[in-house]
Amino acid sequence: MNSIIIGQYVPGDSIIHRMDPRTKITIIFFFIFIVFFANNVTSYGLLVVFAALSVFLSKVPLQFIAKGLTPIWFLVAFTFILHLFVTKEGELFFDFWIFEFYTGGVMQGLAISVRFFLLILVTSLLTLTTTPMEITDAIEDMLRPLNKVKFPVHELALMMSISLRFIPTLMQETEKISKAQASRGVDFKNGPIKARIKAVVPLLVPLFVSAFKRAEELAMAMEARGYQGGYGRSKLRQLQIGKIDIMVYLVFIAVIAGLFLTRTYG
Amino acid sequence: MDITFKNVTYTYQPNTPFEHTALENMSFHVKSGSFVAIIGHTGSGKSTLLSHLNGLQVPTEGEVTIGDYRLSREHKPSDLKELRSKVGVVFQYPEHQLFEETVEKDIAFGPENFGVPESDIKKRIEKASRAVGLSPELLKRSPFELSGGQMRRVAIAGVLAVSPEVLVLDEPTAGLDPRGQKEMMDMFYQLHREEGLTTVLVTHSMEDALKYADYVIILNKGAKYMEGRPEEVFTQKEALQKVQLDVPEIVQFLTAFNQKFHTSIPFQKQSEKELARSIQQVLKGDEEK
Amino acid sequence: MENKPLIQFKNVSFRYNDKAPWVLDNVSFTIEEDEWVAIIGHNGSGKSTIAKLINGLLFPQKGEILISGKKVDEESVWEIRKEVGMVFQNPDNQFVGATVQDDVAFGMENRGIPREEMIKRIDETLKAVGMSDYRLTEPHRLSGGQKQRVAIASVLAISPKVLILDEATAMLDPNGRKEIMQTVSSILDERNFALITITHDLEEIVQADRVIVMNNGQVWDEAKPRDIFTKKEALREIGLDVPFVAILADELKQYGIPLPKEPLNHGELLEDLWTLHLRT
Repeated sequence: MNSIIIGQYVPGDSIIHRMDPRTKITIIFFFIFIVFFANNVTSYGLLVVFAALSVFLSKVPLQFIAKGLTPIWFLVAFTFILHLFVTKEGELFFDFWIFEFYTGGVMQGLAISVRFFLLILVTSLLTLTTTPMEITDAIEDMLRPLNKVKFPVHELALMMSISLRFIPTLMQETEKISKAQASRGVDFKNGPIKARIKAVVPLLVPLFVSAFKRAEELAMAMEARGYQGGYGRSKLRQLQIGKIDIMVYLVFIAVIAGLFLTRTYG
Repeated sequence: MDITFKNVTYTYQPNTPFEHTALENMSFHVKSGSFVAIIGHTGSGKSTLLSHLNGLQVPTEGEVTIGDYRLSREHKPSDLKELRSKVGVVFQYPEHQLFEETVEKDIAFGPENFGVPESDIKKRIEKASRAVGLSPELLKRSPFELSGGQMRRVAIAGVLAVSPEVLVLDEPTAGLDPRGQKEMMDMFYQLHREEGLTTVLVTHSMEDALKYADYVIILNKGAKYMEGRPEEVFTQKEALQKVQLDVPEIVQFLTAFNQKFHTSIPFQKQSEKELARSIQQVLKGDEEK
Repeated sequence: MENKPLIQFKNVSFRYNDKAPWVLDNVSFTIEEDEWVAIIGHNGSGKSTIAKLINGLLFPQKGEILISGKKVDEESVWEIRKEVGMVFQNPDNQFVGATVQDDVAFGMENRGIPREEMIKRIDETLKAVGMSDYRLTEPHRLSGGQKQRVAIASVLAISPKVLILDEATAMLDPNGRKEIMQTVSSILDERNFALITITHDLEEIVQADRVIVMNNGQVWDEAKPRDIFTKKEALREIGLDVPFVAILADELKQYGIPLPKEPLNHGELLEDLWTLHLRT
């Protein structure tokens, strides 16, 4: 079971991997925002180059990135076609039966597709180069101001990290129980839908029972180790903005500036 | 039922970076009606081997034969259910598989799945719960109200109620106290003899293997390392130590004794009493000198 | 050095609710500083309840428990937990951290120990349990024995006065058990703390300074391991195991071989036999 990788994280030591997760999240947030400001070939080109450069620097094999993008190909294609059919701007360049295609439709379709594509690409680059734990740390840190309004930031982060920690354990458990029930004659793979839904009960009940038991024991172990909530705790995990982060911020600001320049003059 | 492994290899996630060979070219034979102990460390391939015994996993290469069933990559029987009704598996911590509202229903779950007629099931529940020593008044209770030891008995009764011909036991005494362990092993041994079962016991306990098994297979890193009768295997201290396994205590003591006293008392699965007698004779021999 | 009482149970009784039977019934004993005590008994004899009472995970209905003279109650409990470290049975259900070092840090974080100090202690304790190479490893890549060693390291990191191993080796394979016992004896050499092992494992019992035998919620006996194992029949009756050497020694006595003492291990029995042999 050593092969379990939670989420889609691809281990590595690239610049992108070493960036502070908060930097990554911040940049992605603003990137999503500015993607909608691109309005011409040059500005789109700038964003595409930025995204491509990030992918290149992350050293994540392209097939992993392609895999992350598979679910959205359909969506991209669909929006493109929709625009092609619906938008009636620009010049008519192709005419077939009752359909009329305008250059504006092609351009708009392309633009929207590229936007989609870029959004998904950068967000999946985040999960590909950042462990779920780092993302949790970053979220905890960035939500810290909410502590003032009594939002349980620490508890939320702890819950997330414990859930992540127990995913492999519960996966192993599921495998064990399904083997045991298969040995008692449960068929998970064949038979009518109704029978197969019923077959899930002997799997789910023991899983819940065991998860509750684990939770109880874990709570006791945490208490025995002196856990009494977030107040007065120190932290081992520390996020640190480094040189790389500052560099990346500068580059990104340059990209934004470039975008607005090309938007106006491009 | 006879069990034969012929050059069995099993590879997890072949052709990926996570490829991992759990069993490598394994061959052995278990005679029908025998009691075999399989010993090896965590990661020696025990669990993978075990999953081959009722078709939960099918060899990547080679062939497994259990009675009339042949399992190989080319030859995967369409109906594994029948095989699974004949090979009962008691997994580690089997109480984790309980899920029904009552003990009775949980024991009946296996037989129902395998199509045992309603009229027979009641008899089977009675017989199985008697065999594991569950008192009848527990049958209507929820299994989750019982003690750990009782829950384990319920789970085992659920496997026995299917009336298997082969019983596979994966460390069935883990987590029990010493008395519970002994009672449980004695129970399996009695079943083995009375029902004429073929029993495969996966264990870490050299003492149990010595006491109950008539054949021992030692695994190491997915391959068969040694096999033979317990008194043959367990006297090879050096070979066993090479794979970090201990010999049973009585053998350890006997070897040390022979060395110190320059005697050569052979190991013949003797009891503590018999050993004490041999020692007495050595000491008495002194007196006569 | 004069031995001081570290843990005192004074007529302690405990049950889970008013209708349930007593799990512990008028239990009294004392454990001293730097002592190794094994608590044994069949499943359900109340031995794990003792552990939970010591660090205030449960509170008794009758009697009182003192740790270094301080009474364990709702108020003192967080202080007490600094002095009592526990390792539980299931290696998975006590591993909180995402990685080994996070887990060792958990107990220190709870106590607000500064980060630099944490890093220092993580280094020290992981070294003590032989897990320095696994600092960043995730729990699902560790064996049961390794997880328990991490659990021991995280207890050591808060330098408690007593370490309780509550059936900590019960779910491990023989190699895992050996790993833990070797780890424990090597840290006992270097640090001072009392050790309580709650166990069925005969080897753990034999190594202890003293054994407390529990039966049906009561202290059945309290003695040195050697003396405990002279009562073989009685031990078996309350569902416990007797080591092989003790059984063999008994059989030898039946054959009229006058062994001078109850042997605790193979070496002792062999030596005694050898002495008899030379004498004749």
